[in-house]
Amino acid sequence: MAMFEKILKRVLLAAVSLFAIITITFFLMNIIPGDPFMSEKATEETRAILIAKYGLDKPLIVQYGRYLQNLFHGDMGTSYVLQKGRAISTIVTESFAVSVRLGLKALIAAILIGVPLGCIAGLFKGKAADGAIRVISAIGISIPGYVLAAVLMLVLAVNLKALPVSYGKPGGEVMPIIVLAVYPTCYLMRLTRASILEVLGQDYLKTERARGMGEGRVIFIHALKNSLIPIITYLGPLTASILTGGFVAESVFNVPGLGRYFVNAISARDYTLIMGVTVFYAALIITMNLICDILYQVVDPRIQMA
Amino acid sequence: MIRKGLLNVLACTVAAAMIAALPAAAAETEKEAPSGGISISVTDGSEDAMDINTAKVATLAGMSVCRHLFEGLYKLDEKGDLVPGQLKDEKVSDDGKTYTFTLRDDITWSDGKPVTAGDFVYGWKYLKDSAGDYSTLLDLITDATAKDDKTLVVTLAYPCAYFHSLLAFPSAYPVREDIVKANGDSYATDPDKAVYNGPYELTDWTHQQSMTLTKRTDYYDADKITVDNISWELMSDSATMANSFKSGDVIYSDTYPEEDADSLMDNGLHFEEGYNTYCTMFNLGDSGNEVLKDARVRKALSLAIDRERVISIRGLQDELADTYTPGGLTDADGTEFNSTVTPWFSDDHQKDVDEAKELMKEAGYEDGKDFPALRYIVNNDSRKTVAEAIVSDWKDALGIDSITVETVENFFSARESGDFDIAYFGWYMDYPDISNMLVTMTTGQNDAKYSNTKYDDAYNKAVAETDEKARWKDYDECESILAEDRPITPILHSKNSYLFDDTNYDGLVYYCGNAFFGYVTQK
Repeated sequence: MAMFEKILKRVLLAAVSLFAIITITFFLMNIIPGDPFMSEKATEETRAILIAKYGLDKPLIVQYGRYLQNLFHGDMGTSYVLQKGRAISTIVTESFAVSVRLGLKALIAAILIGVPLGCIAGLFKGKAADGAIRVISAIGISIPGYVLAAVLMLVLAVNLKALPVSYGKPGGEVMPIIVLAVYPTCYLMRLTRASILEVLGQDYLKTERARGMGEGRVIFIHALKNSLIPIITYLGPLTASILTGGFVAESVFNVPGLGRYFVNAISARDYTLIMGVTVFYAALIITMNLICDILYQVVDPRIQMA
Repeated sequence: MIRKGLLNVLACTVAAAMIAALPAAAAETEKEAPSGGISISVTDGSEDAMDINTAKVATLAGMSVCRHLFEGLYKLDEKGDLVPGQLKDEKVSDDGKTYTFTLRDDITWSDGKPVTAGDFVYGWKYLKDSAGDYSTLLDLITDATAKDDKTLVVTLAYPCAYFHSLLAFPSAYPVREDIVKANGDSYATDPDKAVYNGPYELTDWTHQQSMTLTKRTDYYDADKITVDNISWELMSDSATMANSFKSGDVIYSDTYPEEDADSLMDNGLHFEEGYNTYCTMFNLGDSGNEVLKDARVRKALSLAIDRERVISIRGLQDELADTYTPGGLTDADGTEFNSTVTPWFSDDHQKDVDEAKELMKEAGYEDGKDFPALRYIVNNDSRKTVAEAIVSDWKDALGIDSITVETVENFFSARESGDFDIAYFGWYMDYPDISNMLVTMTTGQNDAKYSNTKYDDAYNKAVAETDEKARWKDYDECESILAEDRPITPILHSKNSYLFDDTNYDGLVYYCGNAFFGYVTQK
């Protein structure tokens, strides 16, 4: 019963957080100067008609109330600028699907490459392989995604013509996946290496060895298994960041994902789209955190919920 | 005698026909339709958004795609000239105010229904109701009635010399009422809902990524369209667009990074008449500084700008602007109009500067003494660079050091509401008719709050004038009134530029920033 109460409290807190994010975004967005209908060719009258049509001439608090009301009925409105007339819910789900498809592939690549290489580096500490892997991971972590994307495009697409520039063409997924995957791969290498080294130094492994267990068994049965715990902990936030952090890769390789809307919707003052993207991501991250918290609670009731 | 004359004519005609046939025949062998279609890239996303709603479309990329999907009474031919499109026959009343249009018999929408006069009547009403950037484009039409399915009678407020240009503009295209009624505004966001009466239909639209246009075999002029499929890559990053072009993924790109202009110069970068004028605008309204209401001050500021220097700073092949009207517009005699009007500046910049100094002295601001502080607003970095160069000219030539340049976020609303003293102003013409340029300085149409009845009268007289020679005289008067008043000062005419692979392809039609790819052939 105590646990149920705790979970209920946590759910309520999540709802309050979401509400706060919606409110803050709505008012901040309206503070930015300008409106969605500015242009050199628009006349004063036509702008006034559009502003009235979308109710933007009403007091902000009225607009806010109406937005909340529609949101509760599942209506996020339609885009004013970027995809005029299209439902926000369609835009968001469609482009999120693209981001997820790409993000998951990058995530899998990062795990499949990063973890084994990290193990190798850890197990061969101080050897040539370790040195090489450490250099690679240092470069991978420090190189900005934007630079990496530009270099890849110049070499692979423009000079070698091995891959298409744009995402939509065959093979177009390769470069954005690389750009998305490089950082987490390198980070995982480091994390795995550090984790393995820590575990290898633990007393119980020494005991196992002393009891005559073979080195192979020590490593595969005990060391690896235990060193995976911090890695799994890191995968939670990594998943969230890889699904949300695709702005560079999406812009440069022309991927129609959700990441691009973070920036584009704001520069276009596409109010409903700004709100839609924010509400969606806030809900996603809050829900993921909630699930994590609840799982911890189930696994280990001693963990305090914030 | 008569006979001989006739023979001569005949001989000439035959010779002309043979000559005409020669290059055509030669061309036939070397040009071919691009197999499998072509790919091009256009700007979409950020502030520019792709749109196929002809009543609302306002971006160049959007208008270009509309010119492929839809067609008005007039259209562009393979040379970029205006020719009848959905139109079979046109009769104009003697007073030039009533047009009776008869539509072609073989025109259909992509769902098989015939295009009717009623579709045009509805399209124009829908344009008005949509309140888009061009919703007032057809305001000169006082009445449009569908007499029957194929006959459209249109009455104008005044005879209009450029009416055909308007009719070829996407805003004047027909719209199907039943489609709009069934789907609302969203009809134009989904290829499954929209119907098309142009040479292509939209077969796929992955938003923010690509559009696929497929040639309509039932389009009446389908034989002339050489490209079967056009894939439009919708991009927002200019470097990506240039890279797609360099890698050969696309054969055309409407954008590239300005700093790459040098390296692209011999590699596909094209410049075309831009039909625009880049200006500096003075606020003559109540919110502007008093000092700008003095015509002498405005003229002095205008004359002191070293326009050549501005152009060299930009490095984009701009043309020096001596008039508000850009080049490329020919008068009744076929001469370039802006070469016939009295220029606003002399050939000798030093002479202009001396005159400017004299004017400032007369106005009581010798060497910039006591000149008030003014705000010069712009909307981006490249325009800021230009504004700063101009401000430094004013300092060097006139001793004015009280003008500050500011980049403002909400530039267009700031300028519209008069929150400036001096501002960037640029006008890109929508169709190459001078009225589209000069209308911007009529009362109520400009953010300078400039209003001169003499100018308005000359303009109104010009557009309603049926005699071509007289009309150009009126336009000439507009220019000279403007040069005298200087609510704006022209700096330069920028070029339209784009990337096109002319090593391997030919036949691109380019019209005021709009591109049409249907006639592209492979070399």
